[in-house]
Amino acid sequence: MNAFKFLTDEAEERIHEGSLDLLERVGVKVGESLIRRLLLRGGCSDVGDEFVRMPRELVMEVMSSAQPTITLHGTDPGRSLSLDGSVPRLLNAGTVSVVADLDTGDARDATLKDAVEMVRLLDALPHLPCVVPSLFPADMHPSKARLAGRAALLRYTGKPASLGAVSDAEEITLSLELSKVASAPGRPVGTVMISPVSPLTFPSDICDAIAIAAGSGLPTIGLPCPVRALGAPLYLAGVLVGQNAENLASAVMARLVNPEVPLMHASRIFTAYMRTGAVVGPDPDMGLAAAAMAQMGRRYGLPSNVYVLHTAALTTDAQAGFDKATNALKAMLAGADLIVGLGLMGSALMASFTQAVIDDEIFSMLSHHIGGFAVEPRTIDLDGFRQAACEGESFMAQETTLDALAEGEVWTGRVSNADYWEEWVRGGRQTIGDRARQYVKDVLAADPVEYLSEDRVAAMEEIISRG
Amino acid sequence: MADLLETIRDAVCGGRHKDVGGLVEQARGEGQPAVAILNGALVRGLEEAGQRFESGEFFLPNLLMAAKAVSAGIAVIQEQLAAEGAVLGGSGTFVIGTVRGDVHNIGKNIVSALLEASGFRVIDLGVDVKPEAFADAALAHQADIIGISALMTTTMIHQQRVMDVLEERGVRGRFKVMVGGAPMTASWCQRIGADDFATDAISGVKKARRLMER
Repeated sequence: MNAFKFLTDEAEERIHEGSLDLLERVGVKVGESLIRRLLLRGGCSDVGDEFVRMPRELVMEVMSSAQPTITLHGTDPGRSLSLDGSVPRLLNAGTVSVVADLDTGDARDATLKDAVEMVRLLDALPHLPCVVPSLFPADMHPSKARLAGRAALLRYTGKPASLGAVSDAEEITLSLELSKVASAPGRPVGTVMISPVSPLTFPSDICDAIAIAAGSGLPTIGLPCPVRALGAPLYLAGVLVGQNAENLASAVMARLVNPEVPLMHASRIFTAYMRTGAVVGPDPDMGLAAAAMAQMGRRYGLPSNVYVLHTAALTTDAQAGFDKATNALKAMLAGADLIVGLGLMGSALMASFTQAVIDDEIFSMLSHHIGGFAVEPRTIDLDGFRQAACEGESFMAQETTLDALAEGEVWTGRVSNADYWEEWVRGGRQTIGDRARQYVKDVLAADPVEYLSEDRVAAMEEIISRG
Repeated sequence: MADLLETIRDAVCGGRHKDVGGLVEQARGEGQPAVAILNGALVRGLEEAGQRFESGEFFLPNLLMAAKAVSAGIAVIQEQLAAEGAVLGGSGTFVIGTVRGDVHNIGKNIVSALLEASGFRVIDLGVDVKPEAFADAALAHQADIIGISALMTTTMIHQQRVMDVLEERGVRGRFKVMVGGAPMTASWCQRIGADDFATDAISGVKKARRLMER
């Protein structure tokens, strides 16, 4: 697609140089680990208090390594997905333990049943080509719950799947075991996301997780989540430099372990609410920051993974729609590869079945024609004008209109209103939330589709028991 | 002299922490008692910042900078305050730390700063704190409240472990316990038996004050 550049060439260069300066002059705090030893062996300097400084030559050498096209796999071998940069792809977000109840809308602790049902919904959503665990059940021990959430994902959807965010060696090790059980030969399921602590801190557990993930060969995504005014400067330029530097540092660490590991460039920028310090509230800069990070990712030859379908709304209201759509559109126009956030609301602390359906529709609307459209004699269709203007033949009755319909020229929604007033009243004045809820109920009323055999499910249960 | 105290008060309210130390020294040099500087300038400046925050004029950074300015002023007159018999930390003693496996310290530090500004004596245990260390510190410092911070759903479980340690040692009833961090919910607070929870710094301080009144 023809991506818009939000950063001028000069601004892009300053963010790049600022990131290298940050890594070279301040460095990153790296806990004792294999990664730390590899960094020091690779030319980084130990400047005390666990900080190591990364020479820009090392960073640029690592970043100049060829990045393979990332192909994501699922338990269904027919559904692999290559991130080739042609169009933005939708991804849900996780992983939380609170869910908006489907019937009442009230926030409550998620159960294993919710986690399974959410996966079944994700499997059904037509514009969602890949998935991450959305819910970790709160009715289980947390370490088992995280594995159970992943197991549910692998069991009830065949879509390309991510293992989600991991935070230590045990979690990644057991999650990789789950992936191995679920994967078809030569098609390993999963990407792994690992968050440093902003600013610039990589504790030992995080380093161990990066090392194991990179060693596995699965796409390994450093996932800095800086909060402006807390873990990063409030200035947008400053937080971009910080996040870019943390992305680069994560990439260096992963590639020192495995030079061929596929990477992504991620954006998860939040802004602290200035009245309380909490990370809540609408954030119009999130999409702009993500657009900038997508541009930086392209500079380094990496696909981007940006969280932008964000809302502070607590119910499926107008705010949920405009929060998400306005931010996502900026990132999509900038050519971001993975548009993340489907199904989350309440400032990323709550999952919602109905919002997931609406987000699928929002993305569908935003992405319509975003990859470009054919401008050629056939689609300009001068002959059609002649027929209509000179011969009085409606465009509706022309063959080219049928062709255009068949090619997807017209966007149609699943839950958006398309009725006039009288029809809408006759239909019970249903809101988009009502229609989305009914869609969820229809999906869940069908028999569950299981993608793994009983012996594989049993193997996964055994892995969960060790969590 | 009153003008100088007013200048200090304005500097505190405006968060000009780099100016406050020098102004306080100047006031001391002019013979102003430390207690008068504390109550007549530093505390009043902070109170004014608090009022402006409550009215919506100020934001959290204004409040934190004002608290920083108070600290800068107190650092200059700490010894004199003790000599004059002033009692700092009269609101209570608050032991705070981030749980084992979690190194997020920014939110905890903001809460600590605001607690200190509210008159609490704060014992900050830092990050990646073992469950036993919370209990040890609370006993050693005769804490009123223990604040257990966790920013990640993966590390929240260690808040439960701190509660377990307090129960195992038979000292749970001696302290109020607050859990804090973005993923906190009322149900989690209830499940692990904490007295209250907070997802942001401002509500955390308000709830701490409320707990002291119980």
